[in-house]
Amino acid sequence: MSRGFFGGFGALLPAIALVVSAQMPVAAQQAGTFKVSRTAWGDPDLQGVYTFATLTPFQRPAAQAGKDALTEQEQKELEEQLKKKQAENIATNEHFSYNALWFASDEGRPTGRTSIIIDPEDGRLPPMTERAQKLRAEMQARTAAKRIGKDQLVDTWEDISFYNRCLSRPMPRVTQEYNQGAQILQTPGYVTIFYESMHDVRTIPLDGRPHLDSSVRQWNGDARGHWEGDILVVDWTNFTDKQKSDGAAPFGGLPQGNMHVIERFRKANANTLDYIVTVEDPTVWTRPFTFYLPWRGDDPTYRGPDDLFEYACHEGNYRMMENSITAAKAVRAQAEKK
Amino acid sequence: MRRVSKTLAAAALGALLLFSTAAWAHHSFAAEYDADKPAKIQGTVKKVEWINPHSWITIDVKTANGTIETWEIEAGAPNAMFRRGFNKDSLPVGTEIVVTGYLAKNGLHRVNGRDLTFPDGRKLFMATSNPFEKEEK
Repeated sequence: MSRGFFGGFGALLPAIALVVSAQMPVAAQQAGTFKVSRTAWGDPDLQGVYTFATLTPFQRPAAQAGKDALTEQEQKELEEQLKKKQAENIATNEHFSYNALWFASDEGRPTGRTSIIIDPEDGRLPPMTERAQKLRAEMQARTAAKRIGKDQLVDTWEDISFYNRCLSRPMPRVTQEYNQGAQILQTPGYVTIFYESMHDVRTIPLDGRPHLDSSVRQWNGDARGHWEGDILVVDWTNFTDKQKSDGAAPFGGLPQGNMHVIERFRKANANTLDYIVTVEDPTVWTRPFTFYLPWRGDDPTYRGPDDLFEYACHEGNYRMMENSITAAKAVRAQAEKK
Repeated sequence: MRRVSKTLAAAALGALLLFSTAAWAHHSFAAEYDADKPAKIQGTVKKVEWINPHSWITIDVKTANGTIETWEIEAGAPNAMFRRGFNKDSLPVGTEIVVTGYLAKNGLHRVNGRDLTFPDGRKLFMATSNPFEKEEK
């Protein structure tokens, strides 16, 4: 049964094939028999509007160590529990900052697995290299130096990450609370992926041209694709060290300049696009890791391109900067009085 | 068997909730708002701004001495709210609402909106989880 999902991928990624147990998501199981339609020029047709919202955690929680997949019954129970918990969360209002009322992520569904990471086998990120540990410690020290008591201070716009400033969001996209929509468009020789969040567009050539020179570094890297049967394989490099996540999983605070990503897209059934991503960066991770995140094409709130709202995030984010900097001034003034 | 899966679900849930709290972004709650200063204010809706990454609801609040104070409430991302069932008709200008949340550290009349209710205690837009549901059926 496991061949149903990773049958095609398995040959390419032996490590993944080993990881996958007999219990696979429903969509994945159907992949073996599903016949993807073709574009007018004969490529597998992956086009559509999708959402990659999910409630499955990126890394496997310790409580589920040794268990990689949920049975259908467990998946159902988990979904029910999550719905109930969300209603409780709104009703009781006991949530730091926002309660669940404001989140869209609860519209996501668990993937059927206990973590988005499928390799390493324990569903956890591999250990960081010494360099990465040092960088992270330095980052934590800088953050700590900007703290008075419980207050984290923002004295300048530079104390806020690129992402929180609505400028750029780290790739590959994997965990988000909202704006998890994406659209795939194909033309002869190209695949284009539009992401709702940050309205980023990746145009991926399929003609076998080489990557950009390694001296050219881009926020969203440089991607080259090709077909392996019905699977779109994308080789993604030329990222920049400027890009750092703001501490959120999976790339929290670590520079991305040496990252090399291999993405695999495959239509598993009419409504599901399997997305499997391997990330390697020997300067950050002691070994590569792979994650699996199904993109769903049948979500009623992502029916078509009109449901991918214009983002205009930076434009709308002015109060965040003002609030943060004036808050820091107020806290410093208060501290000086004491 | 059943007990095992319940334990599993509970564990997954704990991890998920922890996860979603930690990953919330675009808005540094700790930098802007004071978790030790919860606020509850009542007023009438003056303006709703549907802007990313966070919407803002402006309300007029009548103070004890009869003057009007304007307060701004930070809300969710527009499309997150929309997908939850909140739309332009949910909060017409003049609607009276009660907001609970946390005060801004800078002393301005700003609150991080945690919960919205009508004065009689009814929650807003809780029942409708899918704005497209009617259309789809």
